[in-house]
Amino acid sequence: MTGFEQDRLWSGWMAAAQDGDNAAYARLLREILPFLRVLARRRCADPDRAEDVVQEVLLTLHRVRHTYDPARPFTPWLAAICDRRSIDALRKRVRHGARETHDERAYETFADPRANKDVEASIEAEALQAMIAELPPGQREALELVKVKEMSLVEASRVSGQSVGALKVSVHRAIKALRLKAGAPE
Amino acid sequence: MNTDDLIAELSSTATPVRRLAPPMARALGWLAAIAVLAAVPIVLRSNLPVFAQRAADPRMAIELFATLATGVAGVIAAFHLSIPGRSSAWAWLPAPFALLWVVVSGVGCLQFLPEQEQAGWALGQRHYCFFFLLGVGLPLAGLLVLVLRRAHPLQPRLVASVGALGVAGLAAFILQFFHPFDITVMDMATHLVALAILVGFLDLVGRPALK
Repeated sequence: MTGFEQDRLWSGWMAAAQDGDNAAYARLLREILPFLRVLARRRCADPDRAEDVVQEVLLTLHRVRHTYDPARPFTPWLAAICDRRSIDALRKRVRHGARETHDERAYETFADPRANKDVEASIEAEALQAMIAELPPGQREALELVKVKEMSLVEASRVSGQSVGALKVSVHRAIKALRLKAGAPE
Repeated sequence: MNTDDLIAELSSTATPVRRLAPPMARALGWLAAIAVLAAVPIVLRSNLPVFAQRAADPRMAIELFATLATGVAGVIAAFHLSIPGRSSAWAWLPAPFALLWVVVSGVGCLQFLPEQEQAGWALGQRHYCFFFLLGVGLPLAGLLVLVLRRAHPLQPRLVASVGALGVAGLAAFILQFFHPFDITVMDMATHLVALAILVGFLDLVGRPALK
């Protein structure tokens, strides 16, 4: 099929689509895909981006389909839409590229790789919580105030009503008990 | 969504559409409607004998032609540029007339400068031209955008700029019917500021409306 014959065929389908023939429209959109992909890949080397452009072209074609005049060739009309959308995509990419920086570590939560072992960390945290829950109430409260909430001994004393000395002893015993439960050497 | 699904969705939801008339026919129709609208105040309120007398001057006749031609060419070009696949060379259509307009106006105000002496630089009643150009130009710009946006132009900035030049030419042409004096330097400056506001308006307001 020559380019002229192909254009007449597409033009006929487009005219039918304008009149409400949805089957002709579907056939047209499928038939023009290879043509659009070739045009899009001339400007976008990345196949995924080129396919995005093709989809943008299809959406634009749909929106402006009333502007096509069946008395004129179809291919220049279609190529103009594809060209414009390719340029828009290129500009968008340049604009985004100027504002964004690629950071390979962006998917990690902390700079220290050891801190990113989320699964292990959460398992260990659960085990530790269970061990703390088993401590005597005085030791548990002292440990939570001084070590977990990081209060000073004076503040913890005011909150708990225990003396500073008693808190020191309770925290020391609590840590010793946890170390024993965790199987650490004394 | 993959492309096949998109095609299926677009083709299944498509409804029949009414084709736009050829851009030249639409442009001429729009210009004819504006001519009818403008003719009413021109016939009722302007001093046509004075206008005819001024138009007999060759420089003035050229200026009138240049403003009208810029207006008509700008509007025709904007209609063509709003349709995909039409040559972008249409954007140049009003350029020679606009250039002629600027040159002839410039020559006019320099020619009368010695006679007008200080008056040529005075602001005086020039605010009348300023508000006239905006008062005529802004509604014209709005009416043009209203019609052009039906095509959803792919290059709204280009269409808005060329359309603004067309509207500026038409507004300047209509002004001549209500402007019974020769142009001075300050006239030209106020005209340019008003026209710049018009172009800026179409670029800021018209461009998003055309998208």
